[in-house]
Amino acid sequence: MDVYDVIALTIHANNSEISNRTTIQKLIYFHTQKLTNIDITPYRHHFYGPFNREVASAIEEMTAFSYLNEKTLPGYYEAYSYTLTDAGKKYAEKTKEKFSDEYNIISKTVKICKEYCELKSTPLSYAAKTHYILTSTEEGRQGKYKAEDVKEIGKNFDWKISESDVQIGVKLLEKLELVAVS
Amino acid sequence: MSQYPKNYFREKAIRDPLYGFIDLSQKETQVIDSEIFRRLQFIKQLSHAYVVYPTAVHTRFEHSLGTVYVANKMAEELELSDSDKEIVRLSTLLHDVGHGPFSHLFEQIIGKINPNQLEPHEKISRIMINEDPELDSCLGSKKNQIIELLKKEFDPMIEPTKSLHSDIISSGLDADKLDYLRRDSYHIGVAYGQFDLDRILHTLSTTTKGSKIIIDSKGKDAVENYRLGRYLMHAQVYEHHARLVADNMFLKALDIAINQENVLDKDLLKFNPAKGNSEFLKFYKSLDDYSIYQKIIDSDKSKISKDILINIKKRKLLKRSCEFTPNDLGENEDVNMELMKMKPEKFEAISNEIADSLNLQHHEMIFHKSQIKIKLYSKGEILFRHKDKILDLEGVSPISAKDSVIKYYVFGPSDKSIREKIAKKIADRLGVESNKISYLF
Repeated sequence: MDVYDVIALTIHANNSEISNRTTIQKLIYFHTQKLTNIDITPYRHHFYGPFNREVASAIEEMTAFSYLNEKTLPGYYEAYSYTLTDAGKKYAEKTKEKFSDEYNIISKTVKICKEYCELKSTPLSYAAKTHYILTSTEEGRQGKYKAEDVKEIGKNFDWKISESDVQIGVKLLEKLELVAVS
Repeated sequence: MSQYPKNYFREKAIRDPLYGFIDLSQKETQVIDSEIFRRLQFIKQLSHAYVVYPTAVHTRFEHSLGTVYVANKMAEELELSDSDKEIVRLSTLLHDVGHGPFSHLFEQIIGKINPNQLEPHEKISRIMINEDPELDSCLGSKKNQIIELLKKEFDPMIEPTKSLHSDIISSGLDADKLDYLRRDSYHIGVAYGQFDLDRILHTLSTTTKGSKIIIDSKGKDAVENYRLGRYLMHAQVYEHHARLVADNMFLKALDIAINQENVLDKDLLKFNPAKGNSEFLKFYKSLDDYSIYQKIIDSDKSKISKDILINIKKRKLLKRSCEFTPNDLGENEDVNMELMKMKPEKFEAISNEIADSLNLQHHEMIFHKSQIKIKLYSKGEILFRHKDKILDLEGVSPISAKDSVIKYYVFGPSDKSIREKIAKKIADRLGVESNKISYLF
């Protein structure tokens, strides 16, 4: 499945609407850890956490082709809400039929994240950053890091992430059965 | 205390229309006098943009010097040591050295011949710096540091300083763009790419860890101006339809010259890490904007490729048959989906298919996708300091739009009746009415 398919299914799994591009970015980050046949370039370090340019670009294209409707939410920080249009819903339905097993994994991840934090981007970012740090070294992959280690390593990425932020992230990662820290 | 003599970076001064004088060190002077670097005097910065803007004939050479000037200013603002400054200056000086004829166009050809190379000109830059004996003697012990810095990807966790240096060379706010937007504007006589460079330079800062460039709050509007300038330059200059068609005609000519007429030896354009790249380098060094035209036009083997290049020289360009955006398409989901996901080779296949059906030669039709980011910033691309917080300019910009402009062009022969037929065929293929997508209505 390609990046467009994953975006469509991710939004479809949340009643066809997700507020905030960061939320979509981070949800797809989790999908890439769980799905094996997903054709997306790897996530890279970014100031705001793991980021994928291909996902950002595909969101723009899907908006330009009217599969997504983009709305600006008011406030000091501009935030964007994405809904599947009628064409987007049809596309998602077709993709769901084609990739039913993958959709089950995607919808389960979205459900867990929604139950955990209402899909708010900040806790999702904590989890994605924590996961990125934990999987970037052998010690991390072996579960040898403590929350304070993750916090310290995060500083090297210029990521401000406190020990309590790490705990918030780890709890979600445990629910997602991704990784754990000691 | 600096270990460098006071005038180390001021051995030579070169006149520049933007900056007055650009000072260079002895080492840098040796680099610019190397054969490989002098090639850049014959590679235009804006490829075929001169078909629209006659004065768009400035070169990669002067732009490379300009980036050294800007990089030096950035390095001073960020208080880099002299030794770090030297590596950053040399790296920016050499950042474009791997460009071939017509820059990114030839890069596409190299990319096809050497698949799985994301940005071939950067790979070629590294090959040149690593393997060219003349550059080797200029750069000496600095060579490996420069190659490393030009690789771009640094883990800020492991190498925060190199990550910052890399930002000066290639990032949302790098010396490259800060130079070329103003330089291109200056040379072609448009004001779109002008912005307050001094303000940006005086408000540069770094993140807490010092691994990334940010801008202080006072420089925010100057950066907005810079990014808007970038968009306008794309809309008005870089993606101008006449430049696009000339570029695409050149690409067709090169493809035919290499793959059908054997005018250029494809094997000489292949990287060869196992045997070394001396043959590749020797041939590549002989290529520039002028020599590539002459090699093809003067060859006994060329016919179609020669005709195409002569047509570009005479400005006998293909003309627009269709011009449309995704909004002009109908409700046919399969067509929309196909177009959205379409890879470049598929555009060519459709173009060839329609050309065959109209008894045209393949090079008489071009189907091209142009994409300009209206959105001024990608997430986290440009950061600024607001009081004690570092914020993303994308999140607070009042002028940050949301989408890209995607536009499709189909070009055909100057005969209007043929272009009407092309438009009809394209419309049929896409399941829309001709008048929605045709340029001729």
